[in-house]
Amino acid sequence: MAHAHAVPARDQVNSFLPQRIREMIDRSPLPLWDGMEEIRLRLGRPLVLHGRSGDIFLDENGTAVTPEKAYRPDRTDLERALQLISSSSLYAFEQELRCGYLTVPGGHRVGLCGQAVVEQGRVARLKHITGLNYRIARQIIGTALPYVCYFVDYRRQRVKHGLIISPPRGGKTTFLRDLARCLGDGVVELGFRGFKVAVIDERSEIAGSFQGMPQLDVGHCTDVLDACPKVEGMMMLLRSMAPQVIVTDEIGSEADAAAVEEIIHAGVAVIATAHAGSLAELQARPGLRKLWSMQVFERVVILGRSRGVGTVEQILDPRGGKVYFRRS
Amino acid sequence: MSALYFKLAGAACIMAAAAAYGEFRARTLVQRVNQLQQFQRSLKLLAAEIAFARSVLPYAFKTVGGQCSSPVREIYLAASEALLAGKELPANVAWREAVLQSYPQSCFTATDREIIESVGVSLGVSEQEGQMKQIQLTAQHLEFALEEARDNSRRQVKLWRYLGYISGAALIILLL
Repeated sequence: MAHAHAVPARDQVNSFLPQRIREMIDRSPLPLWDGMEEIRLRLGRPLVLHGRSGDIFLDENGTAVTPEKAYRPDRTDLERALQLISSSSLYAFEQELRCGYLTVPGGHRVGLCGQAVVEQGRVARLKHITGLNYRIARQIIGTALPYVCYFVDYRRQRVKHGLIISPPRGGKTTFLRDLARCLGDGVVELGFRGFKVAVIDERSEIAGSFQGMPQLDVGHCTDVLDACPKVEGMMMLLRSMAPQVIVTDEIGSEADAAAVEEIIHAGVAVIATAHAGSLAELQARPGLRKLWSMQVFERVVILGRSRGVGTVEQILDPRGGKVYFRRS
Repeated sequence: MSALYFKLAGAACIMAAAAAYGEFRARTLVQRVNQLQQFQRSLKLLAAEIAFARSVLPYAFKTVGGQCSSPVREIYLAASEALLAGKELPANVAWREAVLQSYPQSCFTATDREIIESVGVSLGVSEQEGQMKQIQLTAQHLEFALEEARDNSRRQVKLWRYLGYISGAALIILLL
């Protein structure tokens, strides 16, 4: 499997940035790419790079300046960027445009902002795109390895239902991807062999698939259903691939919760992520409230930023409230 | 005696050249029809790539080009290469350049070229429905061009062949 992580994230993202912006970043003497999380292009407003050290505004020479002096992307920059991220084929990304993002090879997501076109009460697409947010995905091999043992039921040789929570940009997908890899490959040192893992990658972020081919390492024996809606995908995989574990990203709606409920009663483990800053926030989300009250999940991982993005703060069993791991 | 041979040889050369020219003009007319039909077929393939396979343009062009013959093949492959080269060329520019590049080697007329260029008008910048409408519009224009090319071919192929021989014979008589 040709994984794109062999190509640095910098090169991957660079190939989707307009030449002018790319050159500005390259001209900068600062190590901007180290820990870069986002590049935001807003029409007529300052170019912003968000990384470990916060927001950095660049001028045309790549110098870090105040927002007032920063370079302001124009219409051409945005058109070029759109052209690059869509391979000059907006028609091929109608579904993504409706959802407000596009995923590019390598699993990087480009968020879109503009004017919504509403048809029959639903967002049909976006037009007049005025803002792009390049969110850089990074694969960190081994990030879930120290915690994978909490997800394995050694006695019954099965995987426990798990939920990974954090606010947006908290490292959930990175953790989930590595967890899928560990479970799919097995970890002999931890005493378990690989499980049959199936990933439903609705936004192409987990496996970073390009034309259906995973670009990031999600395990040698992991099946990936790319760009498929979660609810349909879970049922498809259940019937077609006979998985032991289904992995999916960002559950939240009531339909997602119903699908999860269906899967867990089919004898398949579910590992998912959800946006929530705490257990209290999780319980307050209407779509997840029912799953929480049913005590579906056997392991909940809370990610935070106490030691950088994606720090595992706590792992607990919400059924009995037992805490298996707490960051000191 | 040898002068007569020279004259006969010269006459044969003139006749062959005139006949070849007539044949060339006749074949151009026939090939124009074939090439327009080929392009018409390629439009259907492109529509299928866009509507059903949802392939992005560089790969859609590559697939369509691979299923066509020259010069339509070259148009699609050149456009695909230009888009994959990462030069930030808009799709319509890449398409127009590919058409202009292949035009001299084709039997298309200037009107045909304009019709083929028009495929690129909203290429890649509108949703699927818009793309389909543009392709259908081009296909309609192409149908008229094809009808005209068939008509020309029917009327003029034999004419050019006869003209070749007749003009050759006339030139020989004049020179004798």
